[in-house]
Amino acid sequence: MTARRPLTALRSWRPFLGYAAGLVAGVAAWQLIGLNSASFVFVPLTTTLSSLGRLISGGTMPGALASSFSVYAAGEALAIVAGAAVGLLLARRPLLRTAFEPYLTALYAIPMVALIPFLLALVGLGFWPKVIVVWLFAFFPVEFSTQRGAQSISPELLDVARSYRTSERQTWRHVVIPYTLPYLMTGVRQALARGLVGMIAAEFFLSAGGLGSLLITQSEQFDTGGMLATTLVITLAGVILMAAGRAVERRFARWRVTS
Amino acid sequence: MTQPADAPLIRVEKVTKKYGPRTVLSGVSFDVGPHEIVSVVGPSGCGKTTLLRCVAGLTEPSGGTVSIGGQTVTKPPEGVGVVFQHFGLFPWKTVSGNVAYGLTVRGTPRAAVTARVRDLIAMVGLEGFERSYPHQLSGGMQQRAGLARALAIEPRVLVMDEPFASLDAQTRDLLQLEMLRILDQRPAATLFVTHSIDEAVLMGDRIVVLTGHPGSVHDVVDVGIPRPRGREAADSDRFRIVRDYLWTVVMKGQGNDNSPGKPSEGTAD
Repeated sequence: MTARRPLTALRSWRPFLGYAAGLVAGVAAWQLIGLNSASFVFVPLTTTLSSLGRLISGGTMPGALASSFSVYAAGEALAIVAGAAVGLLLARRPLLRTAFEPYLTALYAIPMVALIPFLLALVGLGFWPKVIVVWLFAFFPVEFSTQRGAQSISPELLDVARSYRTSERQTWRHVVIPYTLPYLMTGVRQALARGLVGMIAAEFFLSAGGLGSLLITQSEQFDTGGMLATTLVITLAGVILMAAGRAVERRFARWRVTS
Repeated sequence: MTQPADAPLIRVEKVTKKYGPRTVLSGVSFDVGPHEIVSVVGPSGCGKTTLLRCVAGLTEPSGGTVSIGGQTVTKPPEGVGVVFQHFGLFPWKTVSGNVAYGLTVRGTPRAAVTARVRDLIAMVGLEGFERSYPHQLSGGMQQRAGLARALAIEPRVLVMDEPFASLDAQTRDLLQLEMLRILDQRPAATLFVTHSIDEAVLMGDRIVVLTGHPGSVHDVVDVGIPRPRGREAADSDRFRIVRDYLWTVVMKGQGNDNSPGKPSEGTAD
Protein backbone atom coordinates (compact mmCIF):
# COMPACT_ATOMS: atom_id res chain seq x y z
CA MET A 1 0.00 0.00 0.00
CA THR A 2 2.83 2.39 0.81
CA ALA A 3 4.05 2.11 -2.78
CA ARG A 4 0.86 3.88 -3.96
CA ARG A 5 1.98 7.34 -2.94
CA PRO A 6 4.77 7.96 -5.43
CA LEU A 7 2.54 6.44 -8.11
CA THR A 8 -0.16 9.04 -7.38
CA ALA A 9 2.42 11.79 -7.65
CA LEU A 10 3.45 10.32 -10.97
CA ARG A 11 -0.08 10.32 -12.30
CA SER A 12 -0.22 14.00 -13.21
CA TRP A 13 2.98 13.55 -15.19
CA ARG A 14 1.67 10.54 -17.05
CA PRO A 15 0.37 12.21 -20.22
CA PHE A 16 3.65 14.09 -20.55
CA LEU A 17 5.68 10.95 -19.95
CA GLY A 18 3.67 9.06 -22.53
CA TYR A 19 4.17 11.86 -25.01
CA ALA A 20 7.93 11.98 -24.38
CA ALA A 21 8.24 8.19 -24.59
CA GLY A 22 6.41 8.15 -27.92
CA LEU A 23 8.61 10.91 -29.28
CA VAL A 24 11.83 9.18 -28.19
CA ALA A 25 10.65 5.87 -29.68
CA GLY A 26 9.76 7.56 -32.97
CA VAL A 27 13.06 9.41 -33.22
CA ALA A 28 15.02 6.25 -32.33
CA ALA A 29 13.10 4.18 -34.90
CA TRP A 30 13.71 6.79 -37.60
CA GLN A 31 17.41 6.96 -36.77
CA LEU A 32 17.84 3.16 -36.64
CA ILE A 33 15.94 2.44 -39.85
CA GLY A 34 17.79 5.28 -41.54
CA LEU A 35 21.21 3.94 -40.49
CA ASN A 36 20.32 0.51 -41.87
CA SER A 37 18.82 1.63 -45.20
CA ALA A 38 20.36 2.50 -48.53
CA SER A 39 20.62 6.30 -48.68
CA PHE A 40 18.40 6.60 -51.79
CA VAL A 41 15.56 4.86 -49.88
CA PHE A 42 15.67 6.36 -46.41
CA VAL A 43 18.08 8.44 -44.34
CA PRO A 44 18.47 8.94 -40.55
CA LEU A 45 16.80 11.85 -38.78
CA THR A 46 20.14 13.58 -38.28
CA THR A 47 20.80 13.59 -42.03
CA THR A 48 17.25 14.82 -42.63
CA LEU A 49 17.75 17.69 -40.19
CA SER A 50 21.00 18.75 -41.79
CA SER A 51 19.26 18.69 -45.21
CA LEU A 52 16.55 20.85 -43.68
CA GLY A 53 19.18 23.27 -42.39
CA ARG A 54 20.68 23.57 -45.88
CA LEU A 55 17.26 24.08 -47.48
CA ILE A 56 16.49 26.86 -45.03
CA SER A 57 19.83 28.64 -45.14
CA GLY A 58 20.00 28.36 -48.94
CA GLY A 59 16.63 30.10 -49.22
CA THR A 60 14.94 27.19 -51.05
CA MET A 61 12.58 26.29 -48.23
CA PRO A 62 11.48 29.86 -47.37
CA GLY A 63 10.80 30.48 -51.05
CA ALA A 64 8.80 27.25 -51.43
CA LEU A 65 6.83 27.98 -48.26
CA ALA A 66 5.97 31.51 -49.40
CA SER A 67 4.91 30.28 -52.82
CA SER A 68 2.84 27.38 -51.44
CA PHE A 69 1.11 29.23 -48.67
CA SER A 70 0.17 32.27 -50.73
CA VAL A 71 -1.71 29.83 -52.98
CA TYR A 72 -3.12 28.05 -49.93
CA ALA A 73 -4.27 31.24 -48.19
CA ALA A 74 -5.99 32.59 -51.31
CA GLY A 75 -7.69 29.26 -52.03
CA GLU A 76 -8.86 28.76 -48.44
CA ALA A 77 -10.15 32.31 -48.08
CA LEU A 78 -12.18 32.09 -51.26
CA ALA A 79 -13.43 28.60 -50.35
CA ILE A 80 -14.60 29.67 -46.91
CA VAL A 81 -16.42 32.76 -48.19
CA ALA A 82 -18.04 30.90 -51.08
CA GLY A 83 -18.79 27.79 -49.02
CA ALA A 84 -20.49 29.78 -46.28
CA ALA A 85 -22.49 31.88 -48.74
CA VAL A 86 -23.64 28.96 -50.90
CA GLY A 87 -24.35 26.79 -47.85
CA LEU A 88 -26.55 29.44 -46.22
CA LEU A 89 -28.36 30.24 -49.45
CA LEU A 90 -29.14 26.63 -50.28
CA ALA A 91 -30.30 25.99 -46.72
CA ARG A 92 -32.72 28.93 -46.69
CA ARG A 93 -33.93 28.81 -50.31
CA PRO A 94 -35.48 25.41 -51.09
CA LEU A 95 -35.87 26.22 -54.78
CA LEU A 96 -32.14 26.91 -55.21
CA ARG A 97 -31.43 23.78 -53.20
CA THR A 98 -33.52 21.60 -55.50
CA ALA A 99 -31.90 23.14 -58.56
CA PHE A 100 -28.23 22.99 -57.55
CA GLU A 101 -27.75 20.34 -54.89
CA PRO A 102 -27.33 17.45 -57.39
CA TYR A 103 -24.36 19.23 -58.99
CA LEU A 104 -22.72 19.78 -55.63
CA THR A 105 -23.24 16.18 -54.60
CA ALA A 106 -21.78 14.94 -57.89
CA LEU A 107 -18.77 17.26 -57.63
CA TYR A 108 -18.18 16.28 -54.02
CA ALA A 109 -18.14 12.62 -55.07
CA ILE A 110 -15.40 13.10 -57.68
CA PRO A 111 -11.87 12.52 -56.37
CA MET A 112 -10.58 16.07 -56.82
CA VAL A 113 -7.13 14.91 -57.87
CA ALA A 114 -8.74 13.53 -61.03
CA LEU A 115 -9.77 17.06 -62.01
CA ILE A 116 -6.29 18.54 -61.83
CA PRO A 117 -5.03 17.47 -65.31
CA PHE A 118 -8.29 18.69 -66.75
CA LEU A 119 -7.87 22.06 -65.01
CA LEU A 120 -4.33 22.26 -66.32
CA ALA A 121 -5.64 21.96 -69.86
CA LEU A 122 -8.42 24.44 -69.13
CA VAL A 123 -6.67 27.31 -67.34
CA GLY A 124 -2.95 26.61 -67.74
CA LEU A 125 -0.16 27.05 -65.24
CA GLY A 126 0.46 29.79 -62.71
CA PHE A 127 -0.88 31.14 -59.46
CA TRP A 128 -4.64 31.15 -60.07
CA PRO A 129 -4.98 27.61 -61.44
CA LYS A 130 -3.38 26.35 -58.22
CA VAL A 131 -5.69 28.56 -56.18
CA ILE A 132 -8.61 26.98 -58.01
CA VAL A 133 -7.37 23.51 -57.05
CA VAL A 134 -7.06 24.46 -53.37
CA TRP A 135 -10.50 26.06 -53.61
CA LEU A 136 -11.99 22.86 -55.06
CA PHE A 137 -10.58 20.81 -52.20
CA ALA A 138 -11.66 23.25 -49.49
CA PHE A 139 -15.01 24.52 -50.75
CA PHE A 140 -17.11 21.40 -50.31
CA PRO A 141 -16.51 20.67 -46.62
CA VAL A 142 -17.40 24.30 -45.81
CA GLU A 143 -20.48 24.31 -48.04
CA PHE A 144 -21.83 20.98 -46.78
CA SER A 145 -21.21 21.67 -43.13
CA THR A 146 -22.74 25.16 -43.36
CA GLN A 147 -25.79 23.94 -45.23
CA ARG A 148 -26.37 21.01 -42.88
CA GLY A 149 -26.07 23.37 -39.93
CA ALA A 150 -28.36 26.05 -41.30
CA GLN A 151 -30.98 23.44 -42.23
CA SER A 152 -30.99 22.06 -38.70
CA ILE A 153 -32.16 25.26 -36.96
CA SER A 154 -35.00 24.17 -34.71
CA PRO A 155 -38.42 25.24 -35.98
CA GLU A 156 -39.19 26.56 -32.50
CA LEU A 157 -36.36 29.13 -32.73
CA LEU A 158 -37.61 30.23 -36.14
CA ASP A 159 -41.10 30.53 -34.61
CA VAL A 160 -39.64 32.71 -31.87
CA ALA A 161 -38.09 34.94 -34.51
CA ARG A 162 -41.37 35.12 -36.44
CA SER A 163 -43.48 35.80 -33.37
CA TYR A 164 -41.31 38.86 -32.65
CA ARG A 165 -41.91 40.02 -36.22
CA THR A 166 -38.25 39.67 -37.13
CA SER A 167 -37.49 40.81 -40.68
CA GLU A 168 -35.70 38.40 -43.02
CA ARG A 169 -32.49 40.43 -42.70
CA GLN A 170 -32.69 40.45 -38.90
CA THR A 171 -33.50 36.72 -38.90
CA TRP A 172 -30.23 36.09 -40.75
CA ARG A 173 -28.32 38.34 -38.42
CA HIS A 174 -29.76 37.19 -35.10
CA VAL A 175 -30.72 33.58 -35.76
CA VAL A 176 -29.47 31.89 -38.93
CA ILE A 177 -25.86 33.09 -38.92
CA PRO A 178 -25.13 32.73 -35.19
CA TYR A 179 -26.72 29.28 -35.19
CA THR A 180 -24.73 28.19 -38.24
CA LEU A 181 -21.31 29.58 -37.21
CA PRO A 182 -20.16 26.52 -35.22
CA TYR A 183 -21.13 24.25 -38.12
CA LEU A 184 -19.33 26.54 -40.53
CA MET A 185 -16.25 26.32 -38.32
CA THR A 186 -16.36 22.51 -38.36
CA GLY A 187 -16.33 22.80 -42.14
CA VAL A 188 -13.42 25.24 -41.95
CA ARG A 189 -11.42 22.81 -39.83
CA GLN A 190 -11.94 20.06 -42.44
CA ALA A 191 -11.24 22.50 -45.26
CA LEU A 192 -7.90 23.53 -43.74
CA ALA A 193 -6.76 19.89 -43.93
CA ARG A 194 -8.18 19.13 -47.36
CA GLY A 195 -6.84 22.37 -48.79
CA LEU A 196 -3.33 21.31 -47.79
CA VAL A 197 -3.75 18.11 -49.80
CA GLY A 198 -5.01 20.21 -52.68
CA MET A 199 -2.07 22.55 -52.46
CA ILE A 200 0.54 19.76 -52.64
CA ALA A 201 -1.36 17.91 -55.38
CA ALA A 202 -1.67 21.09 -57.45
CA GLU A 203 2.05 21.70 -57.13
CA PHE A 204 2.84 18.16 -58.29
CA PHE A 205 1.09 18.93 -61.55
CA LEU A 206 1.05 22.65 -62.10
CA SER A 207 4.03 24.23 -60.56
CA ALA A 208 7.49 25.60 -60.96
CA GLY A 209 7.65 26.49 -57.26
CA GLY A 210 6.25 25.52 -53.91
CA LEU A 211 6.61 22.54 -51.59
CA GLY A 212 5.00 20.04 -53.97
CA SER A 213 7.32 20.80 -56.86
CA LEU A 214 10.28 20.87 -54.45
CA LEU A 215 9.36 17.30 -53.49
CA ILE A 216 9.21 16.24 -57.14
CA THR A 217 12.60 17.80 -57.91
CA GLN A 218 14.18 16.18 -54.86
CA SER A 219 12.81 12.76 -55.77
CA GLU A 220 14.11 13.10 -59.33
CA GLN A 221 17.56 13.87 -57.88
CA PHE A 222 17.38 10.97 -55.37
CA ASP A 223 17.80 13.60 -52.61
CA THR A 224 16.13 11.48 -49.92
CA GLY A 225 17.29 13.75 -47.08
CA GLY A 226 15.73 16.75 -48.82
CA MET A 227 12.49 14.86 -49.51
CA LEU A 228 12.16 13.82 -45.89
CA ALA A 229 12.95 17.37 -44.75
CA THR A 230 10.25 18.79 -47.04
CA THR A 231 7.78 16.15 -45.89
CA LEU A 232 8.60 17.05 -42.29
CA VAL A 233 7.83 20.71 -43.01
CA ILE A 234 4.53 19.81 -44.68
CA THR A 235 3.62 17.58 -41.73
CA LEU A 236 4.43 20.35 -39.29
CA ALA A 237 2.30 22.80 -41.28
CA GLY A 238 -0.53 20.27 -41.24
CA VAL A 239 -0.30 19.79 -37.48
CA ILE A 240 -0.30 23.56 -36.87
CA LEU A 241 -3.27 24.09 -39.19
CA MET A 242 -5.22 21.28 -37.51
CA ALA A 243 -4.60 22.80 -34.09
CA ALA A 244 -5.61 26.23 -35.37
CA GLY A 245 -8.76 24.73 -36.90
CA ARG A 246 -9.74 23.03 -33.67
CA ALA A 247 -9.11 26.20 -31.67
CA VAL A 248 -11.28 28.24 -34.01
CA GLU A 249 -14.01 25.60 -33.89
CA ARG A 250 -14.02 25.56 -30.09
CA ARG A 251 -14.06 29.34 -29.89
CA PHE A 252 -17.28 29.53 -31.90
CA ALA A 253 -18.97 26.59 -30.20
CA ARG A 254 -18.81 28.18 -26.74
CA TRP A 255 -22.56 28.41 -26.33
CA ARG A 256 -23.20 24.83 -27.34
CA VAL A 257 -24.27 22.44 -24.62
CA THR A 258 -21.14 20.34 -24.59
CA SER A 259 -19.67 18.20 -21.81
CA MET B 1 -62.08 51.27 -35.51
CA THR B 2 -62.46 52.12 -31.84
CA GLN B 3 -63.66 49.54 -29.40
CA PRO B 4 -65.24 49.86 -25.98
CA ALA B 5 -62.66 49.40 -23.24
CA ASP B 6 -64.09 46.12 -22.01
CA ALA B 7 -64.72 44.61 -25.45
CA PRO B 8 -62.91 41.32 -26.06
CA LEU B 9 -59.39 41.87 -27.31
CA ILE B 10 -58.94 38.40 -28.82
CA ARG B 11 -61.81 36.99 -30.83
CA VAL B 12 -61.64 33.44 -32.15
CA GLU B 13 -64.53 32.84 -34.54
CA LYS B 14 -65.40 29.43 -36.03
CA VAL B 15 -61.73 28.59 -36.48
CA THR B 16 -61.04 25.42 -38.43
CA LYS B 17 -57.61 24.08 -39.27
CA LYS B 18 -56.86 21.27 -41.65
CA TYR B 19 -53.53 19.68 -42.43
CA GLY B 20 -54.18 17.87 -45.68
CA PRO B 21 -57.12 15.53 -45.12
CA ARG B 22 -56.76 15.74 -41.32
CA THR B 23 -58.97 18.23 -39.47
CA VAL B 24 -57.22 19.39 -36.32
CA LEU B 25 -59.61 22.15 -35.19
CA SER B 26 -63.26 22.41 -36.05
CA GLY B 27 -65.42 25.50 -35.50
CA VAL B 28 -63.66 26.84 -32.42
CA SER B 29 -65.07 30.10 -31.07
CA PHE B 30 -64.36 32.05 -27.87
CA ASP B 31 -62.97 35.40 -26.85
CA VAL B 32 -60.59 36.90 -24.32
CA GLY B 33 -61.06 40.26 -22.58
CA PRO B 34 -58.25 42.83 -22.36
CA HIS B 35 -57.27 41.87 -18.80
CA GLU B 36 -58.55 38.34 -18.79
CA ILE B 37 -56.67 35.04 -18.49
CA VAL B 38 -58.35 32.27 -20.45
CA SER B 39 -57.01 28.77 -19.96
CA VAL B 40 -57.34 26.26 -22.77
CA VAL B 41 -57.38 22.72 -21.50
CA GLY B 42 -57.81 19.38 -23.20
CA PRO B 43 -56.14 16.06 -23.80
CA SER B 44 -53.01 15.88 -25.92
CA GLY B 45 -53.73 15.91 -29.61
CA CYS B 46 -56.87 18.05 -29.29
CA GLY B 47 -55.31 20.94 -31.23
CA LYS B 48 -54.44 23.22 -28.29
CA THR B 49 -51.09 24.16 -29.73
CA THR B 50 -52.52 24.65 -33.21
CA LEU B 51 -55.13 26.99 -31.76
CA LEU B 52 -52.42 28.96 -29.99
CA ARG B 53 -50.39 29.19 -33.18
CA CYS B 54 -53.44 30.59 -34.99
CA VAL B 55 -53.82 33.28 -32.32
CA ALA B 56 -50.09 34.11 -32.43
CA GLY B 57 -50.23 34.38 -36.21
CA LEU B 58 -47.71 31.59 -36.66
CA THR B 59 -50.17 29.63 -38.76
CA GLU B 60 -53.32 30.65 -40.63
CA PRO B 61 -56.69 29.01 -39.99
CA SER B 62 -58.19 27.06 -42.89
CA GLY B 63 -61.57 28.54 -42.01
CA GLY B 64 -62.94 31.16 -39.62
CA THR B 65 -60.96 34.08 -38.26
CA VAL B 66 -58.84 35.17 -35.34
CA SER B 67 -58.84 38.89 -34.63
CA ILE B 68 -56.91 40.94 -32.12
CA GLY B 69 -58.21 44.43 -31.35
CA GLY B 70 -60.48 44.16 -34.39
CA GLN B 71 -57.63 43.32 -36.78
CA THR B 72 -57.75 39.93 -38.47
CA VAL B 73 -54.62 37.94 -37.69
CA THR B 74 -52.82 36.62 -40.77
CA LYS B 75 -49.23 36.96 -39.57
CA PRO B 76 -47.67 37.57 -36.14
CA PRO B 77 -49.32 40.80 -34.95
CA GLU B 78 -47.72 43.68 -33.11
CA GLY B 79 -47.93 43.50 -29.32
CA VAL B 80 -48.32 39.74 -28.95
CA GLY B 81 -45.84 38.03 -26.64
CA VAL B 82 -45.41 34.27 -26.97
CA VAL B 83 -44.05 32.01 -24.24
CA PHE B 84 -42.93 28.65 -25.57
CA GLN B 85 -43.09 25.24 -23.95
CA HIS B 86 -39.40 24.56 -24.47
CA PHE B 87 -38.53 28.19 -23.66
CA GLY B 88 -37.23 28.95 -27.18
CA LEU B 89 -34.25 30.87 -25.87
CA PHE B 90 -31.44 31.53 -28.33
CA PRO B 91 -28.57 29.46 -26.91
CA TRP B 92 -25.92 31.82 -28.31
CA LYS B 93 -27.40 34.85 -26.56
CA THR B 94 -27.02 35.63 -22.88
CA VAL B 95 -30.05 36.08 -20.64
CA SER B 96 -29.88 39.84 -21.30
CA GLY B 97 -29.55 39.29 -25.04
CA ASN B 98 -32.55 36.98 -25.06
CA VAL B 99 -34.73 39.29 -22.97
CA ALA B 100 -33.74 42.19 -25.23
CA TYR B 101 -34.50 40.26 -28.43
CA GLY B 102 -37.97 41.59 -29.22
CA LEU B 103 -36.86 45.16 -28.58
CA THR B 104 -33.61 44.80 -30.54
CA VAL B 105 -35.26 43.55 -33.72
CA ARG B 106 -37.78 46.36 -33.67
CA GLY B 107 -34.95 48.90 -33.42
CA THR B 108 -35.53 50.27 -29.92
CA PRO B 109 -32.63 52.58 -28.94
CA ARG B 110 -29.95 50.76 -26.99
CA ALA B 111 -30.24 52.82 -23.80
CA ALA B 112 -33.97 52.18 -23.58
CA VAL B 113 -33.42 48.47 -24.18
CA THR B 114 -30.83 48.26 -21.40
CA ALA B 115 -33.10 49.97 -18.89
CA ARG B 116 -36.14 47.85 -19.79
CA VAL B 117 -34.14 44.63 -19.71
CA ARG B 118 -32.81 45.48 -16.26
CA ASP B 119 -36.35 46.06 -14.92
CA LEU B 120 -37.67 42.83 -16.41
CA ILE B 121 -34.80 40.72 -15.16
CA ALA B 122 -35.55 42.07 -11.70
CA MET B 123 -39.27 41.38 -12.15
CA VAL B 124 -38.72 37.70 -12.94
CA GLY B 125 -35.98 37.32 -10.30
CA LEU B 126 -32.97 36.68 -12.52
CA GLU B 127 -30.61 39.34 -11.13
CA GLY B 128 -27.01 38.14 -11.24
CA PHE B 129 -27.63 35.90 -14.27
CA GLU B 130 -27.70 38.63 -16.93
CA ARG B 131 -24.54 37.34 -18.60
CA SER B 132 -25.29 33.62 -18.27
CA TYR B 133 -26.04 31.50 -21.31
CA PRO B 134 -29.27 29.46 -21.31
CA HIS B 135 -27.51 26.08 -20.97
CA GLN B 136 -26.00 27.34 -17.71
CA LEU B 137 -29.48 27.86 -16.20
CA SER B 138 -32.07 25.48 -14.75
CA GLY B 139 -35.31 24.96 -16.65
CA GLY B 140 -37.20 27.24 -14.29
CA MET B 141 -34.71 30.04 -14.78
CA GLN B 142 -34.79 29.58 -18.53
CA GLN B 143 -38.55 29.97 -18.52
CA ARG B 144 -38.24 33.09 -16.36
CA ALA B 145 -36.03 34.50 -19.10
CA GLY B 146 -38.59 33.40 -21.70
CA LEU B 147 -41.29 35.19 -19.74
CA ALA B 148 -39.20 38.36 -19.41
CA ARG B 149 -38.58 38.33 -23.17
CA ALA B 150 -42.32 38.12 -23.87
CA LEU B 151 -43.08 40.92 -21.39
CA ALA B 152 -40.29 43.16 -22.74
CA ILE B 153 -42.34 44.20 -25.75
CA GLU B 154 -45.14 45.35 -23.39
CA PRO B 155 -47.62 42.97 -24.99
CA ARG B 156 -51.37 43.54 -24.87
CA VAL B 157 -51.77 39.85 -25.69
CA LEU B 158 -49.80 36.99 -24.12
CA VAL B 159 -50.03 33.48 -25.48
CA MET B 160 -48.44 30.73 -23.45
CA ASP B 161 -48.01 27.18 -24.72
CA GLU B 162 -47.81 24.84 -21.74
CA PRO B 163 -45.11 27.13 -20.36
CA PHE B 164 -44.53 25.14 -17.18
CA ALA B 165 -45.01 21.63 -18.58
CA SER B 166 -41.33 20.78 -18.80
CA LEU B 167 -40.48 21.97 -15.28
CA ASP B 168 -40.36 19.98 -12.06
CA ALA B 169 -43.43 20.16 -9.82
CA GLN B 170 -42.00 22.54 -7.23
CA THR B 171 -40.68 25.02 -9.79
CA ARG B 172 -44.01 24.83 -11.59
CA ASP B 173 -45.99 25.73 -8.45
CA LEU B 174 -43.70 28.67 -7.82
CA LEU B 175 -43.82 30.02 -11.36
CA GLN B 176 -47.61 29.70 -11.58
CA LEU B 177 -48.01 32.04 -8.63
CA GLU B 178 -45.35 34.43 -9.88
CA MET B 179 -47.00 34.51 -13.27
CA LEU B 180 -50.31 35.44 -11.61
CA ARG B 181 -48.58 38.17 -9.62
CA ILE B 182 -46.94 39.58 -12.75
CA LEU B 183 -50.21 39.54 -14.67
CA ASP B 184 -51.89 41.43 -11.79
CA GLN B 185 -49.17 44.10 -12.03
CA ARG B 186 -49.29 44.47 -15.79
CA PRO B 187 -52.38 42.81 -17.22
CA ALA B 188 -52.66 41.44 -20.73
CA ALA B 189 -55.26 39.42 -22.59
CA THR B 190 -53.74 36.02 -21.86
CA LEU B 191 -54.30 32.70 -23.56
CA PHE B 192 -52.87 29.99 -21.37
CA VAL B 193 -52.67 26.55 -22.92
CA THR B 194 -52.16 23.62 -20.58
CA HIS B 195 -52.96 19.93 -20.29
CA SER B 196 -53.17 20.19 -16.50
CA ILE B 197 -56.66 20.73 -15.16
CA ASP B 198 -55.37 22.06 -11.83
CA GLU B 199 -53.17 24.56 -13.61
CA ALA B 200 -56.02 25.63 -15.89
CA VAL B 201 -58.22 26.39 -12.85
CA LEU B 202 -55.48 28.12 -10.86
CA MET B 203 -54.44 30.41 -13.73
CA GLY B 204 -57.67 31.02 -15.61
CA ASP B 205 -60.54 33.47 -15.17
CA ARG B 206 -62.35 31.29 -17.66
CA ILE B 207 -61.52 27.90 -19.10
CA VAL B 208 -62.11 26.72 -22.64
CA VAL B 209 -62.41 22.94 -22.63
CA LEU B 210 -61.38 21.38 -25.93
CA THR B 211 -62.15 17.81 -26.83
CA GLY B 212 -60.30 16.06 -29.53
CA HIS B 213 -60.36 14.64 -33.04
CA PRO B 214 -61.04 17.17 -34.38
CA GLY B 215 -60.55 19.68 -31.57
CA SER B 216 -63.71 21.58 -30.78
CA VAL B 217 -64.99 23.62 -27.84
CA HIS B 218 -66.78 21.29 -25.49
CA ASP B 219 -67.53 23.85 -22.81
CA VAL B 220 -66.50 27.26 -21.49
CA VAL B 221 -66.36 27.43 -17.69
CA ASP B 222 -66.28 30.52 -15.47
CA VAL B 223 -63.79 29.82 -12.69
CA GLY B 224 -65.27 32.52 -10.46
CA ILE B 225 -62.31 32.86 -8.09
CA PRO B 226 -61.41 36.56 -7.84
CA ARG B 227 -57.90 37.84 -8.50
CA PRO B 228 -55.40 38.52 -7.09
CA ARG B 229 -55.05 34.84 -6.26
CA GLY B 230 -52.44 33.22 -4.07
CA ARG B 231 -51.74 29.70 -2.96
CA GLU B 232 -54.91 29.61 -0.92
CA ALA B 233 -56.97 29.74 -4.14
CA ALA B 234 -56.12 26.08 -4.71
CA ASP B 235 -57.58 25.19 -1.28
CA SER B 236 -60.94 26.85 -1.83
CA ASP B 237 -64.18 24.93 -2.28
CA ARG B 238 -64.79 26.75 -5.53
CA PHE B 239 -61.45 25.48 -6.90
CA ARG B 240 -62.44 21.89 -6.07
CA ILE B 241 -65.91 22.23 -7.58
CA VAL B 242 -64.57 23.62 -10.86
CA ARG B 243 -61.77 21.07 -10.99
CA ASP B 244 -64.11 18.13 -10.39
CA TYR B 245 -66.48 19.41 -13.02
CA LEU B 246 -63.64 19.75 -15.55
CA TRP B 247 -62.47 16.24 -14.77
CA THR B 248 -65.83 14.76 -15.61
CA VAL B 249 -66.14 16.90 -18.74
CA VAL B 250 -62.74 15.82 -19.99
CA MET B 251 -63.48 12.18 -19.07
CA LYS B 252 -66.82 12.34 -20.84
CA GLY B 253 -65.00 13.72 -23.87
CA GLN B 254 -62.99 10.53 -23.79
CA GLY B 255 -66.05 8.30 -23.47
CA ASN B 256 -66.59 7.98 -19.70
CA ASP B 257 -69.84 9.37 -18.34
CA ASN B 258 -70.78 10.13 -14.75
CA SER B 259 -71.26 13.84 -14.50
CA PRO B 260 -72.07 16.21 -11.68
CA GLY B 261 -73.78 19.40 -12.87
CA LYS B 262 -71.97 22.39 -14.26
CA PRO B 263 -70.98 24.80 -11.47
CA SER B 264 -73.35 27.74 -11.47
CA GLU B 265 -71.99 31.23 -11.95
CA GLY B 266 -71.06 33.57 -9.13
CA THR B 267 -70.78 31.06 -6.29
CA ALA B 268 -67.24 32.11 -5.50
CA ASP B 269 -66.36 31.80 -1.85
